[in-house]
Amino acid sequence: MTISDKFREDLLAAIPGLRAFGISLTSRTDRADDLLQETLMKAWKHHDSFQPGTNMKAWLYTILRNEFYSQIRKRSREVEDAEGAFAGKVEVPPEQHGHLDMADFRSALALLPEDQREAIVLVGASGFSYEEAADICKVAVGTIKSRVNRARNRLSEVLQLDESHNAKLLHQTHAPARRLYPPVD
Amino acid sequence: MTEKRNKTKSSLRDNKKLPLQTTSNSGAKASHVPMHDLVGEKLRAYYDQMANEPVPDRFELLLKQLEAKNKEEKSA
Repeated sequence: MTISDKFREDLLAAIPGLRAFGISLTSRTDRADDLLQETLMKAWKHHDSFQPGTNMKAWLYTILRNEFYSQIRKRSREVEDAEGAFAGKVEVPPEQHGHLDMADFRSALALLPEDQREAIVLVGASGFSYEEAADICKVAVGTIKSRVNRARNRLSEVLQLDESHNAKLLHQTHAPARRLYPPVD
Repeated sequence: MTEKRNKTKSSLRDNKKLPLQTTSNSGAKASHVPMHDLVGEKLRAYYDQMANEPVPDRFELLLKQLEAKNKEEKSA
């Protein structure tokens, strides 16, 4: 079975989005890159299980997501919640001085349970419909919707994006985020 | 809680094999409602910045290696 140039090109084109999804899930670039590597290798190996013309992006995100949960399980067997990031227990609230940068957003996202985090990222940022996100996460559409809502409420609370802060924040969010990735310990 | 348990269970099962093709709703955009609130805005800004980051060369390299290996196997 030959692998078409189109398959390779589509794979290549999907990399930046997949990587962003991986970083959103793990909060860490190095882990996201491991996930991405595994995803590409699996997609390549199992290319014939992909039907050309169907949604390749959803297929790839599903592979990455499965890999993410598989690594969590592996990790939790090895170390009992050593890092906490995966369990959503990172109690590092974003700084509350009104300046919202990307690191703040990432910390806030890391506070969410994984199921809510993946739901809001798939629907709110990766460009999937509720139906596609439900397919990827293998749950009902209604479940995705409620997870997105809960995630949205929690983020809005943590980042103080509720109504009373909106006006203030709208004027303060134009400062460019200096660094996207804080140093990883 | 129950929901979470179910999910974990199903991903355990699903992970044993590659995901089945997502067919049923692929491409259906009916209930795609972009998030127009501040959270949605922040989320997209965060995500777009990551997606626009330069990607390490290793991934393109990996694809090239896989392709080379593929050709080698075919000609063998």
